[in-house]
Amino acid sequence: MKDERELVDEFRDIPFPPDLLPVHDAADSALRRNNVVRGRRALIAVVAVSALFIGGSMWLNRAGVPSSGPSPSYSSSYFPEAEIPRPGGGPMVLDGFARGDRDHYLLDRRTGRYQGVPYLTVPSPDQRTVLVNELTQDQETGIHTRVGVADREEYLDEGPAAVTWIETGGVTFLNEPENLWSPDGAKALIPVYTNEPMAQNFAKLFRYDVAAGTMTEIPLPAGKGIRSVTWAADSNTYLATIGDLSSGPGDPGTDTTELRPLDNNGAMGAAMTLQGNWRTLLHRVSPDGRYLLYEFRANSESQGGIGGYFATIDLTTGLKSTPIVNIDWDNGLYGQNLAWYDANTIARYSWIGATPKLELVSLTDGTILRTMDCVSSIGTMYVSPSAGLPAEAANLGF
Amino acid sequence: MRAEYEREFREFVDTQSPALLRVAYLLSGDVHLAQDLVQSALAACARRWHRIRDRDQPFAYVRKALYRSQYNAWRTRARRPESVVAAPPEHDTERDHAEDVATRRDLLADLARLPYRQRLIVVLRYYEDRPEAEVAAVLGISTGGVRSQAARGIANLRRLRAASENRTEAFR
Repeated sequence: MKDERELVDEFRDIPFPPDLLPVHDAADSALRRNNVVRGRRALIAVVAVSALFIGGSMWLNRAGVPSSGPSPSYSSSYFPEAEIPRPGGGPMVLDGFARGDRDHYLLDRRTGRYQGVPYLTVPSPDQRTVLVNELTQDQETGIHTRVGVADREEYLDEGPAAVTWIETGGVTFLNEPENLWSPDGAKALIPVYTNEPMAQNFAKLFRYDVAAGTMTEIPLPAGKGIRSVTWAADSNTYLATIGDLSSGPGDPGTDTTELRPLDNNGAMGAAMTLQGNWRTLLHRVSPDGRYLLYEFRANSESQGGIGGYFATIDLTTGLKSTPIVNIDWDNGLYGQNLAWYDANTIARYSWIGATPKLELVSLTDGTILRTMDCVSSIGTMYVSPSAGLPAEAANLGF
Repeated sequence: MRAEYEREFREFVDTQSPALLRVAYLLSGDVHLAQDLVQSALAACARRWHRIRDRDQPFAYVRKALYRSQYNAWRTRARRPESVVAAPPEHDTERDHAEDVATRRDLLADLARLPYRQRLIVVLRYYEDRPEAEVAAVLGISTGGVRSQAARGIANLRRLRAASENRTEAFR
């Protein structure tokens, strides 16, 4: 490509896939969605008015509401059984996932079924609570977003009615949702962004205590920007990629990023060095707390060639753990869905050929230990122990 | 929706969906996501059809909804555009007689590897061939932001192209 005009010409003749066709009933589908939204609004209005008349006390105390067993009342949508992979048992399970952009599913551990949930949903590691993020966009009034928490089972049963919305005083998105929950599941990080579209740093960072229902702001180091943050193994302090605000979002050609411990007063610990530039994303610490999983995009041959990679750093020594594993897919894109399987193994979602797969990757030598079929078009996934699932769902484990 | 509006809306969907899908595909890199993206935009459009038809701007409205939803999507799904594909773009194996086709297919693959705000701006600027000011207006950002992101996008495409050509040479 020599210049911009040549790019325009290339675009003009670009070959689109032959199956890029409007959905069969595009107009009907759009009109149906419109009617569903109107119906929901009407239902909400009716329920709200009814609640006012019936009286608050009965509503709040849930008097007369049967409590025996799971009884999804707001939604009966489940992920299609035929599409659910059943690798045949194993210690871990997909606890929840987002398919594409808008369809969110959470494993109902009582029934072993993946139930559709209304918002972007991040299950806590202790499987008791969920963090949810609602994002709506209106052409005329802009983006509306809010974040909330809910008891997991109540959320599965009652949907939006179970959510306690949190006032953050700003624009809150659950970007990089995999690293928001503390390892003990008792606290969550709530990032607040400015409403500037180009902003990539947090404007504010809060810690939400589930039991107390309180938000505590974590002061950010003066003059510094945080691009990615995750919990340290103690479920009390943090690890963050930190850079100078004055230097902007960073040079894409930069080979390394600074990682620092961060405490609740905004004090930083000694720097460690990660591979990758400012876009490096932190995942979670390993189950034993020793290693931090992160992913980065290499922009130079010195980093192994242009592409996506994940790696771990030994937090006890600050040294890079080997190997660095390429996460490019067969199609030239790359996947970023990673989770700890055990202290030595990473589960990653990938495409092999034209098939979505879940792979277990050894951190000892980078080899693929196991490859399994998986749900297609997973955007975000969460992995948790399969222990306690009902017998009929035991084969969901891998 | 009134019968007259519904008829207009259906006509609009029939005539404009292919063009919207092509844009959505370039933004998402995936056929199913593109369809979903367009359907969501159409549903939003249906909700406000009575207003936007009066302004004679339904296509502009849906197109803007597509871009804006993608532009802001990084906040909630920074990984999505690089992580969700239904099938790999096909690579032409018969370069000797179809090198130009292969080049354009490579462009699709390279485009998918861009950070997606860059991808968005590259698509608006060079696929839709829109001026900087219009791109800025659609996305609600400054023209300076458009200019810098477009320049970075072009530079990254060049780098990806060069890397791809080097790999090709190595196999010859």
